[in-house]
Parts: sequence; structure tokens; C-alpha cells
Amino acid sequence: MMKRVMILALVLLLVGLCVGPLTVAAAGFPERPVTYSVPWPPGGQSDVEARRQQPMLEKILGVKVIVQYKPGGGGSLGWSELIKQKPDGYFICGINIPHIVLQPLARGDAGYKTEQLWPISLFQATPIGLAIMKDAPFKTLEDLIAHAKKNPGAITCGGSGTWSGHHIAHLQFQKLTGVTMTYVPHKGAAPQVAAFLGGHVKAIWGNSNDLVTHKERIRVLAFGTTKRFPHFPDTPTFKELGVDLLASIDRGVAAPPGTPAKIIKVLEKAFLKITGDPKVQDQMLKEGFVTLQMGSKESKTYIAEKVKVYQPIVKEFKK
Amino acid sequence: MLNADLIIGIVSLVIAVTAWVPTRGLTLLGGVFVDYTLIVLASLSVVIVIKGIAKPEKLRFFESVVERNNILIGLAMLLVYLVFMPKVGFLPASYLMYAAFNWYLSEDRMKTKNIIISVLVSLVVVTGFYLVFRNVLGVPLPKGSWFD
Amino acid sequence: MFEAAFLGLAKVFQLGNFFCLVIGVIFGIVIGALPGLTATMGLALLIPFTFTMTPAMGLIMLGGIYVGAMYGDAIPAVLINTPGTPAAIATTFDGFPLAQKGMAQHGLVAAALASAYGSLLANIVLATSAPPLAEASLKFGPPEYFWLGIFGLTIIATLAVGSLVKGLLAGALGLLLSTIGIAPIGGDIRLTFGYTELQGGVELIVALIGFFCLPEILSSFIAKRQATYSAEKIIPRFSVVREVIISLLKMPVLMLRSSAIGTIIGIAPGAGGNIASLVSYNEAVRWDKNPKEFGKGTIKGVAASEAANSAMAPGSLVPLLTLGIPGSPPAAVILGALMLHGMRPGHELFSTHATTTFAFIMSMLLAAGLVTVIGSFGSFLYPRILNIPARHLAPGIIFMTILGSYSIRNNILDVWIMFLFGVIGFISNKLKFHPAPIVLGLILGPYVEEGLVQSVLCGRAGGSILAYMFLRPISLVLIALCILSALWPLYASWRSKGKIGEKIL
Repeated sequence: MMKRVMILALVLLLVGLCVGPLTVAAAGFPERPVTYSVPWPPGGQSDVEARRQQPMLEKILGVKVIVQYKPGGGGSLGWSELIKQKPDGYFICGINIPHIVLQPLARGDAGYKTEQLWPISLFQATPIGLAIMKDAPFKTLEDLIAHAKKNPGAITCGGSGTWSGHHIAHLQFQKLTGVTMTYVPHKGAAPQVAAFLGGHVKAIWGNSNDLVTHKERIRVLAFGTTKRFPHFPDTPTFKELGVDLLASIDRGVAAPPGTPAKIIKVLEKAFLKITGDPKVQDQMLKEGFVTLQMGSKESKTYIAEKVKVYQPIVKEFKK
Repeated sequence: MLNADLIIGIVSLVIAVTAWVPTRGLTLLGGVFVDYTLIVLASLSVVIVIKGIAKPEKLRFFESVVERNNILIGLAMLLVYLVFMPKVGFLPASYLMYAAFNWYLSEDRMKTKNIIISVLVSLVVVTGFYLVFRNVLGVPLPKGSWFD
Repeated sequence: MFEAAFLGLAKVFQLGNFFCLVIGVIFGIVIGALPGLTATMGLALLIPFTFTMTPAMGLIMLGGIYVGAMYGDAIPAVLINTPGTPAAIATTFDGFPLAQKGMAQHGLVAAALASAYGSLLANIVLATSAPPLAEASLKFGPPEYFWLGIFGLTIIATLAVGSLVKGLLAGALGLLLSTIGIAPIGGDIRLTFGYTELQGGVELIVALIGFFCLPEILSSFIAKRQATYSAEKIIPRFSVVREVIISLLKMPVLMLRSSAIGTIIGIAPGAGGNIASLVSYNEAVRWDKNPKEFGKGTIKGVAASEAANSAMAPGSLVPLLTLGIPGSPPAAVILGALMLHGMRPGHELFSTHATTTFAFIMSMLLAAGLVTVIGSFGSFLYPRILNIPARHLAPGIIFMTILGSYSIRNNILDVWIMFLFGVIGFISNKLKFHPAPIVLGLILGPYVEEGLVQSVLCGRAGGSILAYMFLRPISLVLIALCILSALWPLYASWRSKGKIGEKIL
């Protein structure tokens, strides 16, 4: 009888010794400050989001969160750094879709591969809309398409960056409607908007928040969303008008490849808690963004889908 | 005695050629500016080379052997510092670098007093700068230091 | 508007706000004075602290930092030939020679006063005429930026001491350097030779430290074993402050013109404040009766440069506050701060949040005054740094610049680039090939390229590329300026009755 009790106790002890460290490891994370790397220069939207999340993350995780910058290459320097970090959860990096999908496809060697960035959560979507000035000669998307068909290449569309969300939207649009327009890339959202407002480009593939800021002066022809964008209730989606185009720039965070699932879960929960907060959702909406509440698995699937959609387009248009 | 113009012209020409080769596969829009710049660079280099041959102005690079040695030693110290920094650690390497330069630039190197001053000042200055940059200003610094 | 301005001013004087302003200015001066740390980074570092503050307090502090940094960057420019931020490049041209002549205090006081003057003027413009100016700034399109870049390149004529062709060659090298990285249009990876780290391109401030600071240390201390940075011992005197004030009062045209140039360049979104000081310096040389004085240590050079770069700061806020388009990287950070506090740029800022907005503007006006005071008093302290023996100072500067170079992009590659450019700069100087135009090419390359390629795209869409690039009103003005500026050296040497070919080759 005693022998059985002893064996039982021994087994329990062994099980406890095996399971214990695991729970301690997960329960122990995080114990040190976490570094949140922003692969852009300070002041950009990704920085604003990181700063918005910083105090909330610190409260939820119970440790300091250090925001640091690693700009360059349109984000590629930050992401190539991320994949080299220790996968212990103490270094996370902001990610942008479609950048992390398009850069490896378009550049050959971007310093990282899309699959190497293990997403924790996607928290913000910036739908892209095609807009023209209020005093432009066309009033609807059909007008624009008709005009473009008659004058191929005449309509200039401003966008931010090459092989970026705007560029891909432009290419997809051309393919779906059969028109040719001229894409004029700029160094960022601010120059893009300035060029559009100044009349230097006739149309703009604009970020939703910029479109909201200049609502009064512009007319948005369509949005690349599944549902109509709340700030522009009268503006149809591309899908409604028969153009199967979904266009947005999404922001999230990722961890280095090989990060244990338990640690990702802790971080994922923290970010989902932030985006679940109605105050945050209100703020984002007011500024012209859409809150996303995608966890790690959902994000991974989303990104993989995007890869499938963009791969043929990049191949076709990369000369 | 060096023909400065000739050297400048030839080096610039080499740079132009070195940049020409890998940029042949660029897209039209990505490459147009590079092409124009390379053409301007190459043309001006040729002009300078011609001037160097036609009207050579010779100059001395180092005014003395002492100067040359000083520079080479100084550059060597910096190079060693940069190469070994990631391996030895940022802070230890910096202590060594500062102390080395301090001692090297001192008037009477053989006096023990000077060596001690070099080490002490190094500890104070490097630690001070490091703490200010890292903790007060919150700026990221290279890894590999004991404080990490 | 006056009512809002008055209310805003009152707000600044509230104890907590004023305290934050002073802290901000001091912090800004320190950040500006440390090479490698830019105003942008200083602002970004302090944004988390503004979370716990009211929007007004936070913005007041940020305004103080911006103004402080635009003066602080002159300190190392004068003392160790290293611009504290790229905006102060032109300050080194006359600032450092002043220090070498033992007149460092003159340079520092001139920098403080000129900074305050430029800041003051630009803030008045910002407060009174922001909306119409912002609208006008939108008229700057791709061809205009292209011609502005070309105009900037004609400054090489002034910078090329001795040989114009060699100056142009250096400029071309700079343009080539600027192409390293990802092509802004086309997205190609250029000249990285397989190093993915180089996809970010060459960072300007790192190149500046390399070309300006290291060669000086190498040649003075290491090569010649000079005991201190300047030949004469620096003894600050109060009479210097009076002297400088009187001198500056005697050059109202220069001060006004420099401030105007800085404000205008700041307003043009994305034109980059880095060129404000260079253009202003160039114009100061062009219109002066004794242009030969420049480059050898004259207060005029320092004043022209500093007035412009300090005026650029409020100028860059013009399109920011009215249209939400930042005119410079620090303005972009301030935009982030505005967004975080829920303040949208636009007429909302001047109506609903008018008091806070004007508190922000007024705080910068006051910051200009603080800079005058702190700068003048500081001029007694900082130059003494040059009296420290080289054995302590030189490695200290090396260490500080390494810290700065690393921290700008969190990248060890930048430290290597700094070292490499330091060596190249040293060799260039020895070969009488001055590297300043290389820096100019590096700064202007992106503008010229983007302007060129975008103009090609838009011109092609509109029918005629040439018509698009040449036949626009602002472009025509800029083209005329370019031609004038390019031919000026010929005119100047004809006027001084020298041989025309002398300074060209």
C-alpha cells in the first residue's frame, strides 16, 4: 500500500517537474522590458500606433515597453533585424501589409522572407480609396474609367512608394478594368497628399485617414473595402461597382521565427485587449482608421492569402 | 610628390565604372537618374585627368614621416576598436579605445602618472557619456556591454 | 486672431507650461548640440512624456525642443566643425574658422542671436498668414522640386574653393552616393553590392560627421599633435556679446533675407530644412560687398546660416497646422503628437483648439527669447571646452560621435560609414579636394531624382514632358534663378577683374 502511494507521489513529482517549468516559463513572461521596434522614422502612423499602445501594453504586461526605431528600406531594415533576434518574446516589431508580402516578391533579396515574420496580431486597417478633386470633370468611377479608356495613360494617380499597397491597388485596378493610367509614386503619404491637393496628380490612391482629413475638398470614387467606409457613407466600394478590388494597408506586430506559441499567446492577448477597448476603437475611427482584431493564427492565414493574390501580379508587372 | 588631380580623376573614373556595372539591370525609372549622374561623373573625371596630365600640380601628402606614422597609428586604433567592439563588448572596447587615445596623445607617455590618468579619465568619461545617452536620453546603444 | 494669440500667450505663462517650455528648450539645445542626435529624434524621445500632460503643455514642450535644437546644432558646428544636425552644415563654413581664430564666443553669440531672430520672424509669419501660405506651397510640384534641387546644386559654385570642375565632380559623387538604397521610383535595389543593410541608403548626419568632424580630429590632433582645438586660448568676455549685437544690427538686410529664405524653404513641404542654411549662406556670399571674407571666419556666415535654419522650423509648421502635411521630419513627429492628443490639423486647430494652437506658436516665440538668453550666457561656458587638452577632448569627441552615429538608425553600419567617410574626407582634404559639395549632392540627390522622374511621368501623361518641366510659372522663375546662379561665378570674377578661367579649373 505504501509502495503504491510512493510510486504515485513519485509520478506526480515527475509530472510536476516536467510541466512546472513550462507553466513557469509562460507565467514568467514577461519579466524584463520588451522592445517594440518600429521600422519607420519617428512621426509616422506606425509610430503613432506604437505610442498609443505603449502605456496600455505596459499596464497589461506589467513591464516597461521600449519603443525604438529602425528605419530604412521601406521597413526592410527593421524586418531583417527582427528575424535575427532571439525568439524569446522580448523583441517585437511592427509589420505592415502588403509591404512584408510585396518586398520579398519584388526585390529578390529584401533581407527577410514573409514567412519568417511570425504575426502576433493585426490591429489596424487603413482602407485605400481612389479619390479626385471636387472640381474634376468626372463624378463617378464609371466616368473615370471611360475617360481613361479614351486617353490611356493620361490620368495620373498619386501613390506612396513603389511595390506598395497603393501601387498594387493601381496595378490590380488596371488589370480588372482594362484601362491604363500613370502611377506616380511619392516618398510617403504626406508628399502624396500634397501633390494631389496641389493638382499635380489628377487622382490619388489615398489612405483612409488622409481622405478623411481633406473630406471637404475631395470626392472619393470608391473604397477598397468589403463594406462601405463609415466616414463616406455615399461612396461605394469597388466590389459594388463590379471591380473585385480589395485594397488596404494593415498594421500589426510580429515576433521572430521560432517564438514559442505560449509567449505569442501572451502578447496576442495583450494586443487583442487593446483593440477590444471601445475607447481605442472610437479614437481609431475618428482618425479615419478601422480597428482590426486579428489574432496570431488569423493573421497568418490573412497574410498567406495576400501572398497568393499578389504573387502573380508582381510576376506579371515586374519587368 | 603626388599628382592630386590625376589621382582624384582616376579614382572618380573607377568609381563611375564600378557603379556602372551593377546598375545595368535597373528599371527605366529607377535607372535614369543613375545613368545621368554616372555620365556627368565620368565626363568630369576625364576633364580632371586631362588637367592632371596637362598642368600637373604636385603636392606632398604627408608633411613628414612623423605625421604619416601618427595618422596610421590613429587610424589603426580606431579600426581595431570598431572591429573588436561586437566581440569584446561595446563598453569594454570603448574604455580601451578612450584610454589608448588619451595615453597616445599625452606628452610624456612613459610616465606612470600619465598612464593612470588615461585609465581614470577613460572610466569617467566613457561611463558618463554612456549613462547620459542610454538612461537620460533613452537612446539605443550597441549591445555587448556589461550593463545589458 | 489677436484674441486667440493673447489667450495662447497667457497659457504659456502658466507655471507648469512655462516650466515645460524651459525644460524643452534646454533639452532641445542639448540634443541639437550632440552630433548624431537630431531634432527629429529629440522630439520622438520626449513624446511619451507628453502623454501625461495636457495637449497645450505637451505641444509647448515640443515647440521648445524644436527651437532649442535649431540653435543647439550651431554649438558643435562652431567648436568642432561638426554640425549638430544637418541643418547647421553652413554654420561650420565660417563658425569653425572663427573658433580657430580664437573667436569662438563671437560665433556662438552670433548663432544664438541669429537663431532667435530667424525663429521670431518665422513665428510671426506662422501666426498671421499660415493658411494662404500653405495653399501657395501646394503649388510646388515635381518640376518645381527638380529645379529647386538644381538651384541647390549651383551652390557648389560657392562651396568649391578653388576649382569649379572639382566641385562639380564632388557634387556628382554626392549624387551617386544618394542613389544607394531603394529607388524611390521603380523600387529597384541600387548599389548595395549584396549588403541588405545598405538598402536604407547612406544616412546624411553620419556622412556629415565623417566628412567634417573626423578629418579635423585626424589632421589637427593625431597628425600634428596639436595640444588644443584652437591655436589661441579661449577667454570669454562680456564685451564680445555687445560687439556681436552691434555687428548684427549693422546687417539688417542679411538677417531679413536669411530669415525669409529659411521660412520659405520651410513652408515648401518636403523641401528639407537641410538646404535652408546652405541657400541662405550662398545668397549671403553672393550679395556681400566683400565675398572673400566668407569661409575665413566671419559672423556674417554664421548669422546667415543660423537665421535661416531657425526660421525653417516655424515655416515647416505652416503646411502642418493648416493641411496636416509636415514640411520637415521634426514637423512629422509633431504631427504624430497632435494626432495622439486628438487634434486634427486643419481649420479645426485654429477654431476649436485655437487657444492651444496659439499657445504652441507663442511658446516658440518665447523659446526664441530663451535661446537668446541661454545662448548668450552659454557662450561663456561652451567655448571653454576647446581649452581642454586634446588628449582628453579628442577621444571624447570620437566616442560621442560614435554614440551619435549608432543611435540615429540603431545600426552599427552607420558607425562604419562614418569611419569610412572620415578617412575619405581626410584623404580628400589632403588632396585639396574639398568634400563639402559631396554632402550637397547627397542631400539634393533625392530631390533632383524624384522631381525628375515624377516630372517625366506626369509630363508624359500630360502630353509633353518638356512643356511640363519648363513652362510652369514657378518653374520658370526657378530656372531663371538656376541660370543666374550658375553663371554668377563668371560674372563675379569678371567684376573683380580677374581671369575668368582662373577659378573654374
